[in-house]
Amino acid sequence: MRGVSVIGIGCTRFGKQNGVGIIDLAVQACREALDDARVPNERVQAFYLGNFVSEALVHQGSLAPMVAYRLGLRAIPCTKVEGACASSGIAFRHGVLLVASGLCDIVLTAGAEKMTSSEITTVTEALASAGDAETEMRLGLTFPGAFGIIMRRHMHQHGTTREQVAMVSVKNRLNGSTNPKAHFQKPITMDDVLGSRLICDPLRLYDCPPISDGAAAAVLCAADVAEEFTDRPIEVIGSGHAMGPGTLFEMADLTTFEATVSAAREAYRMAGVSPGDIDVAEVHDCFSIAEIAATEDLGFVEKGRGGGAVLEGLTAMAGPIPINPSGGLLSKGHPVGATGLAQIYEIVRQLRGEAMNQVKDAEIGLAHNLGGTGAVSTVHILKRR
Amino acid sequence: MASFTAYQCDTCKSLSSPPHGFCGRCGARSLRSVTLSGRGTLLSFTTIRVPPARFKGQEPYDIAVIDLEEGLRVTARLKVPVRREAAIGEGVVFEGLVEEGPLFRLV
Repeated sequence: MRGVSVIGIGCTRFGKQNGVGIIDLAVQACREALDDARVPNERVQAFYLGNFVSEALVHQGSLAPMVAYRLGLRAIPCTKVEGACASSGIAFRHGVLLVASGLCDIVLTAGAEKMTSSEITTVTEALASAGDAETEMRLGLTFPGAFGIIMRRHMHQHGTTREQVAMVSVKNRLNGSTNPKAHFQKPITMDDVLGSRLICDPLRLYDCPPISDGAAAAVLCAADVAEEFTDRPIEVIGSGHAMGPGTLFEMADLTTFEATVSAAREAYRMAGVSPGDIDVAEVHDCFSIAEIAATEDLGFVEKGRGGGAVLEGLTAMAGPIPINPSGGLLSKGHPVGATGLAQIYEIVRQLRGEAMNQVKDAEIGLAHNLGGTGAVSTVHILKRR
Repeated sequence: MASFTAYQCDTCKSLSSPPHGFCGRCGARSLRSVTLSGRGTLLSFTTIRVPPARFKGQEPYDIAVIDLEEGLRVTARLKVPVRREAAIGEGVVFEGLVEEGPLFRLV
């Protein structure tokens, strides 16, 4: 396999973007990434776009070629990838595979979602389509509901406290307060989280991310070609992508996402590193409890220790393994199809040394994206050259 | 108490519900329907207060993951009496199939 580098990144502001459609959002992020990479349009050989609910929310299909054409690309294969909230983690993964295979030198990957123009119940229903419509979602289960069930079980099984879970939101909202692209830029307190209204017991409003519009993109390039464009390529040293059960009743343990465990194993093996080697991580905190489970499933702490780790500050900016310096989904926002590439965007900035909340001398970073209630996960490990 | 129908693989004996025409574990096509006791315990549960569009008006309602005593795990609607709180590990029984799917109640 050829080495693969990230040579350009782009990300729109996340939040409510009145009057900006999904195609324009994606084009903005892609343009920024191509300009950042100093790659002319005619050098791009393929395009992968992650998106989850554009058909349901903005009645827009054929998204990949639409975005590519508007961007000025011509005659290349364009593919939309859907994997619920992991859609653009998978788009990035397929870009990596295409470059690693030797078929292409330069591939553009992106993710986009437009969510704020729909009613909350419509968004809830669209997101619920990532679950099993024939078993759990027909019951009226929602995504917050599934994570409410997981949270209650985590608290029962591992002794995780309500305060430990709330601390994830407090930490990430603090991190996001200095991120100019974040949807929420105001810190919150433990009391704010504990006093917010119940959504799906025991999960409360501030355990959930905002509903946002946004797009993010990354330009992938063969490592041996990267120097033509940049003197600071970021290497993709590990890529993992795996499935898990898409329902709660098929999970062997309600507190473990098998997809994350499997994807992480593949990524660590390919990269030849262990969890202790990771300097900074962006993990999929679609709900506060999800970050705790991910911290464990990625091997940063033992199963059941994720709650203690966040309350003790181990995952804060000053801790040994800073998690979600961007503010994560809880602060930055979760335009679902864009999330995976927004995580890559932050990790690349960290490894270039240009992040808003810079982890000192970060050399190796990890991005973890999760789809559905664990139906799919991608884990990518990036390294400064 | 209503009887709960599941499907058992003739080859590997694993239980499943709902049916898919073949065993989800070993792939064998020979399954037989079996009647389970309908008794189980709560593995976890939640109360849905913000429902999807087509369930609007039903909230709040409870959804639980239940371990049936024969070893099958199911997700179902849970009936919890007003002014009563459910707890993990508590016993539940199958009450019947409603429009949305299986419904259990606290013992």
